[in-house]
Amino acid sequence: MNTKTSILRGALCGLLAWIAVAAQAGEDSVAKLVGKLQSADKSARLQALDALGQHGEAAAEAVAPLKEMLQDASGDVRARAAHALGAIGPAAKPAVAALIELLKDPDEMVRRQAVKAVLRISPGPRVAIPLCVKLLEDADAGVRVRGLHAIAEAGAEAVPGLIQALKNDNAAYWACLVLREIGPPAKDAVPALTKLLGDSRPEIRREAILALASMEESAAPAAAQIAAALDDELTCHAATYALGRIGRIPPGIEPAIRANINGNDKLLSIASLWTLARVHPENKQHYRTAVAQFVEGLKDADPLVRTAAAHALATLPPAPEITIPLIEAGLRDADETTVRHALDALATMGPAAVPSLIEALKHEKTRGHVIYIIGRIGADAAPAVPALTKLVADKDEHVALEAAVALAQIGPAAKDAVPALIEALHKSENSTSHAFAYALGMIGPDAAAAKPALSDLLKNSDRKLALVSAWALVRIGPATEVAELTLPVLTAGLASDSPLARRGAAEALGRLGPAAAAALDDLDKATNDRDRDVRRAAEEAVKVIRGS
Amino acid sequence: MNRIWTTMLYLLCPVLTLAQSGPSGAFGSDNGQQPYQPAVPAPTIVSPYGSPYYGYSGGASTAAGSAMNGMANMMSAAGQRNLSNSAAVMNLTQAQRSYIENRNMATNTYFQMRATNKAARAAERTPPPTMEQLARIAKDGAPKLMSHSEMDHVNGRLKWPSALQQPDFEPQRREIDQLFEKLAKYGALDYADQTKVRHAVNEMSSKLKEQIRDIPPQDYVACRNFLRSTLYTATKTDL
Repeated sequence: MNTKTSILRGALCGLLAWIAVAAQAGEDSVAKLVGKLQSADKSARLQALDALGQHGEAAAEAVAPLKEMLQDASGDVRARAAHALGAIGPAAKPAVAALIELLKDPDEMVRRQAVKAVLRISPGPRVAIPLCVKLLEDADAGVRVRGLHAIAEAGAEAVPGLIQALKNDNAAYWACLVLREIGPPAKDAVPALTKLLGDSRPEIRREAILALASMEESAAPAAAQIAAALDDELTCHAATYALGRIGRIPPGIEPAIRANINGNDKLLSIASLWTLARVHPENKQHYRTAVAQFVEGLKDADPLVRTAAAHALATLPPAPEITIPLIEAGLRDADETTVRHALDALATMGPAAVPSLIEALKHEKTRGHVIYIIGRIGADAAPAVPALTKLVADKDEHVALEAAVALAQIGPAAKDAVPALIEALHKSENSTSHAFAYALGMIGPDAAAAKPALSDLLKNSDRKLALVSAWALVRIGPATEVAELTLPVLTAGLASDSPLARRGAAEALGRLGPAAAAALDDLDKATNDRDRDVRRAAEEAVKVIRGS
Repeated sequence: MNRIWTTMLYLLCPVLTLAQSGPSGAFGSDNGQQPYQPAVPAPTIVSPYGSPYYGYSGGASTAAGSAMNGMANMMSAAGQRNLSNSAAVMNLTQAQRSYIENRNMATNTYFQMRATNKAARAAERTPPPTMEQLARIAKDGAPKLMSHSEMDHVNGRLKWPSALQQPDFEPQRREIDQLFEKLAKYGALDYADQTKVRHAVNEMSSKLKEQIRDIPPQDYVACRNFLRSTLYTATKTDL
């Protein structure tokens, strides 16, 4: 009896569970949600819309009913319907016209969602560009910013529309911003921009000047009109900068620019020094004076002056022999913000800046930033290896990790760091071990001394650490020697729940070449992986292993 | 478009936290005036195909280009400052002044959004090696965007876990709520606002840690993950 009861009870529980699951599944289905869109209860409609939005592309069958919801009396409903259509993406193309109509909606949140949706549906440049140019007139900044972005993405294709927008009082300012970003490919806008230099609004004149500046030598015909703006305190900074960017100072104008160097306006002084240094690169004396002033500017109390000085340093024609010693001098006893700005300037100088960057490692608060810049320089940053090697043992895990990654980026030239990395690998019982193993792998055959330590990690319970270690062993090689040891870990890695791990495993197997023949079946399966990058890596590995 | 959207997922990586957190504010936002805006694009974590990973964008190779745009922005700001202090603007009505302020804010947001967008695409073009990403993720785990149950993606409203709804967290919660409304409006936050979110999140994390004994472990972990996602989502561009 008891047995029968428990069987019945079990069956009943199973049935109830099935009903619950089925009901849940039913609630989540697109068809059911579409049905709920007709609910008289607004909150039910809103919930259904949000849920459809979460379905994304899979809710394509809901496009028609969602399109109808764009007419709903509630702004919240209209906004969420637009949001859901955007989430569906290109399959919601039939709703584009209705969404464009919604851009006249009085509710700004509705308009924002409508523009987002149209851009996500990607109706193509013929529809999108004129539409977005029109959006520049919208009263809501949220709508305008999205329109601006879409136009800037279109690049040169949008220039004719932007030239038209320059004639519109409400859109001209924004059109100037986008044209500034497009730069030389927007050179057809030079005449229209030049016309705007006579506009009564100073912000329009200023932005027109900056847009012309971005067109560089194409804007040379406008140099005289730009120079005329030097007399106006609202446009003089932009005009000075523009002449430097264009690379041409009209005759008779240079004395005025020189006079501004010693004026009270520090930003104008920076712009003037910068422009003269760009126009006269041969004048080393002026260059030295300009750099010295910029370095001084890095310490100014006014943050705008500091930032302008850093940008000025970073955009001068390169002369590291002059710039670096001056920056180094400026770094002495500098505060944190100054150091950051100086680092920005140093970063543009590439390998030449390495000695200064090594020196800058002593600033504790900006150390991470410095390591990042050193790492980006790559193999040319080899002189930094001893300093980075010390940091591998830093008590701050983030610093240790970044130092290891920077050493990895330096690659084989970081071979002197191998003993420290091995020691760190032994000591480390935290997640930084992955970075140490990675660095050893990137150093390659010269890290052979790390093989025993890395081999030990193949059995580690952290399977990602085991995988990075196997990958490192493969990089150290030779393949014939490490294949047997690493194949089980790498093959198992193909089944990891992390797409990155699966991809890494496939890449490492490919690197093993024919020695990984035993993994071919698993790699074949991985060519159907749900992740595109994993599929590509697997296909590549199969090719290499088969020798085809 | 969807792909672009997913490409825009950002998080400040440890090096940023390290490099830019300090007594003067994460981006050196001294005196509450002009925030520090790096000429070297910030290292980012980008997720091109939905699987988040750590990656760097920009760096030395693109610093000069970014600085050139930055230089133009500084010149624009200089003119704007003079304009704001000019007699003509002093005589404007409050509504006209607000219009100018809003336009300046939209301008900054626009350039900020474009900079992060370009950086994300650069990272997509040359992603860091797979194993570097794996090594970085091992440190802190893969970051996650806020889910629909945590945030209303239409209006930016956050659905705070109950433990973070306590009065202790109110000032930071209010600040983050305002910033997320702004995020929903513009589709992105600029450096200065991202910094404010990071400060508020850091303060909330510290308070949460102090209360660790009073909060059930599951709730504590949920709050921590919520804050982490808050930070991540605040740095993304959602167009």
